[in-house]
Amino acid sequence: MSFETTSSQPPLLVASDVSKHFTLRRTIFGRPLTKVRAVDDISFSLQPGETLAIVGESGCGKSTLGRVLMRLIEPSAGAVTLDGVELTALSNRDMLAQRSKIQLVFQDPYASLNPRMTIGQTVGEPLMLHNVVPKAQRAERVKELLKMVGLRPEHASRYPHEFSGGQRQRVVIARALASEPKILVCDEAVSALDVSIQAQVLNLLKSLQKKLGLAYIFISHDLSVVKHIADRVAVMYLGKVVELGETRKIFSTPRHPYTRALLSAIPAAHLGHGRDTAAHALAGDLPSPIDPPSGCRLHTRCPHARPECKAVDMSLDVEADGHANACAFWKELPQTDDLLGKGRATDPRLAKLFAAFSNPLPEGEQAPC
Amino acid sequence: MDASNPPPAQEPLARDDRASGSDGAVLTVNDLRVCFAGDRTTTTAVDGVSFTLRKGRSLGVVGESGSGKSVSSLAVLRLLPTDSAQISGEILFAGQDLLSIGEKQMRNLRGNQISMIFQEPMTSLNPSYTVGDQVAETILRHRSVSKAEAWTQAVEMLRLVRIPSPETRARQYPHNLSGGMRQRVMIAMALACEPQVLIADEPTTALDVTIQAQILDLLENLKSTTGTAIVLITHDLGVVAEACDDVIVMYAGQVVESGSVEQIFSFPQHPYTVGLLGSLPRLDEERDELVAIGGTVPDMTQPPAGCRFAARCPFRIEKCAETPPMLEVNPGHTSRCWRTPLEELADEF
Amino acid sequence: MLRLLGHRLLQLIPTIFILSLIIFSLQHLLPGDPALALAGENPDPETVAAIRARYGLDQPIFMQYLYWVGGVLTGDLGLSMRHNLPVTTLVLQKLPVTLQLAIMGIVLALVFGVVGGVIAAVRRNTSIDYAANVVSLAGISVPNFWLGIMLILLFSIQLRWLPASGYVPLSVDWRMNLATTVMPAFVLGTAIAGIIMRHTRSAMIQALESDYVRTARAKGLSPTVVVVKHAMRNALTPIITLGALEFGALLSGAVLTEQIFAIPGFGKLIVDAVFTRDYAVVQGVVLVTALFYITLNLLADIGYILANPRLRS
Ligand SMILES: Nc1ncnc2c1ncn2[C@@H]1O[C@H](COP(=O)(O)OP(=O)(O)OP(=O)(O)O)[C@@H](O)[C@H]1O
Ligand SMILES: Nc1ncnc2c1ncn2[C@@H]1O[C@H](COP(=O)(O)OP(=O)(O)OP(=O)(O)O)[C@@H](O)[C@H]1O
Ligand code: SF4
Ligand code: SF4
Ligand SMILES: [Mg+2]
Ligand SMILES: [Mg+2]
Repeated sequence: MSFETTSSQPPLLVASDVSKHFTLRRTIFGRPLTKVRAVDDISFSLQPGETLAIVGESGCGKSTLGRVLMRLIEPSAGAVTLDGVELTALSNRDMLAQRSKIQLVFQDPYASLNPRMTIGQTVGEPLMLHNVVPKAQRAERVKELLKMVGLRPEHASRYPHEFSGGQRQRVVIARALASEPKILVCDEAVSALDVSIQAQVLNLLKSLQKKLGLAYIFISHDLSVVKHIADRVAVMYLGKVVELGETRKIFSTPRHPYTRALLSAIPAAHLGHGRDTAAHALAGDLPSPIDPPSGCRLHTRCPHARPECKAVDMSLDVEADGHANACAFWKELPQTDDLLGKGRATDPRLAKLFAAFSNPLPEGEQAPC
Repeated sequence: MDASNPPPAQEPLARDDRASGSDGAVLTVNDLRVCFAGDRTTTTAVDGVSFTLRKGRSLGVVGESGSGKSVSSLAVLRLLPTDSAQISGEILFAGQDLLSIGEKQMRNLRGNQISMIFQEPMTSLNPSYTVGDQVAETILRHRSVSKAEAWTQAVEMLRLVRIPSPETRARQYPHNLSGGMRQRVMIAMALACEPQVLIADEPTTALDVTIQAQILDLLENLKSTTGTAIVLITHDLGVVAEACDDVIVMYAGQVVESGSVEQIFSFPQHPYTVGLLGSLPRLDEERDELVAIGGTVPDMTQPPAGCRFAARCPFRIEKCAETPPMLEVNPGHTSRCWRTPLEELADEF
Repeated sequence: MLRLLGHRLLQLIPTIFILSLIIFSLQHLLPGDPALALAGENPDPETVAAIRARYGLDQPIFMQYLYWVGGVLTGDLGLSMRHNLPVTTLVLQKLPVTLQLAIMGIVLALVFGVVGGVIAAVRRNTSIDYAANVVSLAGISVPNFWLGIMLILLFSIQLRWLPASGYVPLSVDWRMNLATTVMPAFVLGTAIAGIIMRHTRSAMIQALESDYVRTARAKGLSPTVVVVKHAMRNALTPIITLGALEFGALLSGAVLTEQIFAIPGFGKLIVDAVFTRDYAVVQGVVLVTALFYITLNLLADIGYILANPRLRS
């Protein structure tokens, strides 16, 4: 299976039937007893300069998928191809060379920086590791990178504790960019940040993409953020992709009952959306991934479940435009027109005030960073 | 909503009246201050916070991380560490100032008339006792019932918060339950004695959206059926818009804006709130660029003079070097900003 | 839970096997020929050979091991060359003495350690806490022999309250028994009390700062209920394991203390045996001590499982 966008360019990254099973317990003879199918038979492709978001509830396998794509953990089955090179077939040494092309940005900007290294050393480390620029130019390049993420070159000599959360996440991004990657895997990269700071980092990611043509795998559980940043979205449930398609389509006409439930559950931060959440709500809790339900894994919670759902398989039904979903009965589901509701439009005067925040501050003593 | 600083002059006004609620007020906080004495410095975590909570309504508390939301709520229950926290002000509940009653009297209120739900459902339950025991414990503490009776009531509470097969679940330990179920147990525990005030500190932050929706639904239901007044602390403006009636916005230990949800979401009157609303991606609209509030929150060991938001405010003028008072912009809608009403500012940009 | 226990028991088999190998080879690692030692001054070859044959020392090593294991399994730990008595008899004679000391020591240690640790945690950063800290540090760092001698000087020589040495069995006179054991038990217990106190304190502080204790306080429970029911229950679970391990350590720690107070227990038995190269006794004592250790560990595991609902199901 593969789902190409209509673009004519060859895809930058292709995952074909990737699975990752974790063995939780073994018999005394080493035979696996219990397995978690954290990622189960997932395929997709990523175009250069594109953002693919991966969304889903906690424990559905988003982080595991992200790590398998970078081969930070070995897949149990399937292949990952980056820029024509099959990563999953490489030796560890050859993989090291490829690693410069795909970099990870984690959730916690506090834990992922070494408190005893200056910002300059942190950002310069991958330059040395991957030998991207000659030694003499490293300091210069570090300054460039810092400027690129909206920090001042003088910051290079400071330590992480002297920075705010948003600034630290910028440092992490600068470090990831140092090896001149083509893809950034952002695993909940903005989730730990306050909304006002989250906005800074999202704006930065968007502008970097425009400037450098980066592609992002954007892992998040926050659907409004995803809607803002992603070109395409893959929705995961218990290790399976249940829906994949263009962001606009996923949000306007979601096919799969799980996607509908997720979308209708997001509380909207605006007034007057008259939407019907209850109709799409899921019953109960997420089942254990160790022993997922048979057939369609959603059938224990799906509001549209029918007896046959216990036996259907979860392969994706792809429409002509690439919009794919795994509900066997999606064509028979009720229409969804106003899942997100249409809120009251922002007062134009308020919109002007919003714009004021992007102007430089009066007297300019506090640069927005 | 009365949220001015310094406290209004009509302060000695019939206390019992206000507390027992001629205007429906159940809990009134006046000029609450909390300082933490450190080794060399003192952190002012809460600096003159005032708000009123009314029966059957929910008050959303939003604000930047570290703005004093949790500390204010812990102060109401007097759960802050007594050795380092210095609390002053007034917390009026049922005709009494909670800051001046004895510890024993306070214990009789906790979990009974005022109860609290915490953010961390995974760690807020004791791993060594069954969840039924832990809910029953609250009932046993505040009601004169037998153990068996308390257990039956506990199971009923678990049923009320929609835990499936509550009889079985009650006999299980916290580690047998998912995060969403544990949070429901916490809610059952908090509601077991039908409190008049429920303080929920980020009750859904650790949960997935689908579970969050269930919990918010539950709280909404509760408010209308039992008339419990709810304080909902959250950093998620979406949650506030969906689940609250009134809002206070906190910044650097102060309330900077307060009003009804309708008022604040249709036209906020404090620049910080404006920035906050603008920084959210909207689901029903395209926004190319999000508002990013530059700079950082001030250091609360040395809060700046004048307006605390000044260093990050695009509307700053010279007057902002003086401390702005809480000004009523519209009836019931107040803001701590010299330049209100902000509508008039729009023409400048 | 049963499966967990079965697992633990299965794991014991290799442990015990390796242990038996080590203990058995002990005798061959020690210098000197036991037969020569027994035969006295200027022995003639026949006597030595006879002694060898009598104690099975002329057999191949492998056979010696099998005989030994076979004996151990039937409760025969061999013959003491020096006392000319079965080792089992000797062990059974001395074991109760040491066991009594160890039990008294661990009870003292647990009582002082847990109570002190809980109080220090509840009264953290007050003078009570600091005082408890000093006491526990003293308990850990003061050497047993020095403390023993000091106690003897004070209570036996100066005050003349307690006998300086010797042992009276419980069955003979319980008052004299207590008088002769209280000092050595105290000496044995102090170091462990210090360790237990430190662990209890830090575990309690962690528990008192936990979210579930905050929940308990928010329910309106009294401080006593919060500390005893909610915090202690969780903080003390790891102390079970610690206590069991330390109890094992007490058995071996008794060697020196028994020497100081001239108490005829395990310690004295093994010291004498080592000096006279009485291998069967050395082996027997080491084996019994090691088995005790293993059993205690197992009991600690079971206790831990019982106290911990997460493992019970
Ligand atoms: N190293 C591991 N060993 C065993 N199981 C694992 C391991 N890593 C992850 N899992 C399991 O795999 C499943 C998917 O985990 P993963 O971390 O990918 O989820 P996620 O979607 O990133 O969740 P979250 O939103 O909470 O970060 C979970 O059930 C998890 O318990
Ligand atoms: N026990 C304490 N001792 C000292 N300082 C404290 C203590 N508790 C909180 N503070 C400080 O008080 C300030 C307010 O903290 P508070 O927890 O109320 O923030 P918050 O608004 O709840 O933030 P968040 O959204 O991150 O939960 C912070 O600067 C914090 O560091
Ligand atoms: S296959 Fe059945 S259970 Fe699965 S999503 Fe579709 S309707 Fe629901
Ligand atoms: S008082 Fe001045 S600085 Fe403060 S928020 Fe208003 S305009 Fe901005
Ligand atoms: Mg993850
Ligand atoms: Mg908080």
